[in-house]
Amino acid sequence: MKLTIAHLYPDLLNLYGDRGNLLAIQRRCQWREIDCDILPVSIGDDFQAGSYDIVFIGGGQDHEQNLLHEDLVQKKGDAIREAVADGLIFLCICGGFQMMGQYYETQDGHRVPGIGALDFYTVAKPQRLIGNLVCHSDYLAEHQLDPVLVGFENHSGRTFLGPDVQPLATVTHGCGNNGEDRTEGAIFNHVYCTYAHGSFLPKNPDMTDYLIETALKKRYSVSHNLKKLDNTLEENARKYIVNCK
Amino acid sequence: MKLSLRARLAIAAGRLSSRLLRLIGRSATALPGKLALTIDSSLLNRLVHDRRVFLVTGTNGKTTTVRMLCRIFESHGFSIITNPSGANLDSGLTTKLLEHLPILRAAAASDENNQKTALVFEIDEAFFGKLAERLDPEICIVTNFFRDQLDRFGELQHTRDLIAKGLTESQTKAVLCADDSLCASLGRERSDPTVYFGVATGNLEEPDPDTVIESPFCLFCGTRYMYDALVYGHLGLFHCPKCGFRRPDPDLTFSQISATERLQILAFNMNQETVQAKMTVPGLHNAYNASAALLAAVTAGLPIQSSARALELTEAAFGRMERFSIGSKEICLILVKNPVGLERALDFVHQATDVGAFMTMLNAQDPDGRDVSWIWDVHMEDHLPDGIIGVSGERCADLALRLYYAGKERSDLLIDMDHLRLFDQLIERCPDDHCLYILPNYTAMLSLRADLAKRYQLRDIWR
Repeated sequence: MKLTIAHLYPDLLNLYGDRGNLLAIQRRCQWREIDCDILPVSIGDDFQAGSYDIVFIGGGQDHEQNLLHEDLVQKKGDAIREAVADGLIFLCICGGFQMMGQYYETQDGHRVPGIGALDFYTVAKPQRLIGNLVCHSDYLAEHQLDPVLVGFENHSGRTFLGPDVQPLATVTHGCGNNGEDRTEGAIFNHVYCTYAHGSFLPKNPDMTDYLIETALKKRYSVSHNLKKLDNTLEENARKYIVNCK
Repeated sequence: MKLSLRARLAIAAGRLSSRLLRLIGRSATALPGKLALTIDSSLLNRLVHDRRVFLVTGTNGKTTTVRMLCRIFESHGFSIITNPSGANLDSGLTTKLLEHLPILRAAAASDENNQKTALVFEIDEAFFGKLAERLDPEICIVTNFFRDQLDRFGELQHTRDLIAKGLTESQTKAVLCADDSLCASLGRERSDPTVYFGVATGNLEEPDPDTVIESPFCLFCGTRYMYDALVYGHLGLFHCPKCGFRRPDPDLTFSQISATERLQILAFNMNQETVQAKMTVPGLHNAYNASAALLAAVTAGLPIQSSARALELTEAAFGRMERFSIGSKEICLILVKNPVGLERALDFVHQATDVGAFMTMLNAQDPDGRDVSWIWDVHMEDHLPDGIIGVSGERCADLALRLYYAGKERSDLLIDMDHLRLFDQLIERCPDDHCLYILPNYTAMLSLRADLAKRYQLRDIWR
C-alpha cells in the first residue's frame, strides 16, 4: 500500500515546524509498512488532485505568502475547490488554514481574497494570539479517538466560521480561531484546518492515524485497521502541554 | 567630560545604587542604569558622545564576534568597555558605562586616549533600531539573519527592516555579510560607507537542487534567487536573475585551510594581501564571525596582520563551543538557539572524531522563545550521532519526540529532566580521552553551566 502527500509550497511555507506534520504521517505509515511519498507542489506546478491522497499546506512569513498568493488563488484555486468538493483530504495549518477561506482582511482594512473553498473569513488584529493551545474535539470523540488536541498558536488573524463549517475543536486553553467564541480550526468534507503548530500531528497521534486511515479507505476502498503503535513519547509531549498550559 | 548638573546627578545616583545593590549582594546589571536614565534620559547619549562605539547585531554569532573584536582592540593597547550578552537594553549599557567611568574620563581627557578607547556592544536585533542612533556608532557589524524565536522577534523581514532603520539613522559605517542575501540587501539602500565579508569562491560546491533554502526569494523583486554555491543555511553565492541584485564582492574573504573539532586555520584576503590565523574556535560559522571582526578592525584603522594574530588568542565564549576537562574526559558545550544553529552544531559533532557521549537540552523560557515548534524545522535526520542520546531540559519530552521521528530508537533516548543526573550518567558512559558534547538552548545552557561551574569550580562563572 502507498499514500501520496502533496506538500504545497514547501519552499515558501516552511516555518513554525509545520514540516513535522509530514514527518509524522510518513513515519507512522512506515512503522506500519505503508509507503508514503511526499510530492512538493510549488509555484507554477499543476495541482493534480487525482494523484494525491492527502494535501498539506502550512503557514509562512508575510513576504513569502504574498509571493505565492496569485499562484494559489488564481492558478490552483479551481482545482483545489473541486478537490475539496470531491472529498480529498486536506490538512491546513495557520496561514494555510486562512488561505482556504473567503478572504483575509489586513489591519489596514484591505481584503485579500482566499481560495474560498471553505465558508469562513479572517480579520487581522494588532495583538497576536501566542501561546500553548489545548482543545477538545467532539469530531474526534465521535470517531472513538482521543478528543484532546494540543499545539502552539501564533497568529494575528481572527477567523470566524460560517454555518456550513464545523469547528475542529473547542478551546479549553488558549485562544483558537478568534479568542472570542472558543472555536478552534475548521472541518468541511475532509478538509481539516487548525491554528496549532507545535508540531501539530506529532503531538496528536490519533489525529495523524485518523488521516492515514481515512486516506487508505478512500484509496483502496476497504477499511484498514491500523496496527496500534506505542505512543509513550507522544503522550509525554502531550502531557507537558496539558499540565503546564 | 563636560556634563550638566542633571547628568552628574544621574551618574551619582546610578553609581550609588550600584554600590548599594552590591552591598546587599544583589546583581547590578540594569537597575543603576535605569535609575540614572530616569533622572537624565539623555545620559546614555552623553556618555558615548565623541567616543569610538562599535556595535554588533544580527541573529547568530554576536557574542563571539564581540569577543573577537575586543581581543583585537586589546592586543593593540586599547581600553575596552563591553557589555555581557543579555544586558543590551539602554539600562544595561548605561550601567556598564557607569561602572567604567574612569575609562570614559580618560578617553575624554585627550584625543590620543580617545583614539585608543573602544566601546564594543552586542545589541539584540529587536532593540537595534531604537538604540543605534543614540549610541552614534563608528562601525556596526551585522552578522547574519536566520530564523529565530518567531514568537519573540516576529518575522525575519521585520527584523531586517528594524536593523536597516538603525543603520540609516546612525549614519554609521556598516560591516555586512556578503553571502547572506538579507544582510547584503541592507547595503543596497545605503549612502554611508559599507564593507562586506564573505567566503572565498575557490573550492565551493554547487548546491544540491533539492536543498530547501530559507528566504529564497529576492527581497527587491520577489524572483527566486539562483545560487552558484551554498555554504550553509541560505549563505552562499546568490544572484537574482530578474532585477540583478547579487552577492556583493566582499572586501574581505576567508577560506578554511584546515579544520578539526578543536581548531581551524583560516586564510583571510583583503586588498591582495593574505594573512593566516590558527583559531581555537572551530566551525565555519566562527570563520564568518572572525571575518566580521577582522574587517571591522581594519575598517577602524588597525593593521590586518596584527589583528589576525589577535584572533588566534580568542577563546570560545561562554557556552559557545566552550571546552573544559573533567578528569580524563572533556565536555564541549555548544549553545543552539535556532534551526540553523542546531543544524550547524549537529553537523559539527557529526564530523568530530572525539565524540564519547551526546546530550541535547531544550527549554522554553521567555529568552528561548515559548514555542518549541522550530525543532521540527531542523533537518536532523542525516546528522544524528549513533547510539545513546541524552535528552534533558523542561521540554525534553518534545525534543525526545523529535529525535524519535528523526529515526532514533526509543531505547537510544535517555530522557531525564534532571540535567545533572543525566550528565552523570553520560559522563560515566563517555570513554576516557573522549568528549561529552552537550547541545542546550539558551536558558538550558545557563542553568546547566551554572550547576557544572559550582561543582567543578569553572572560571568565568558569570560570563
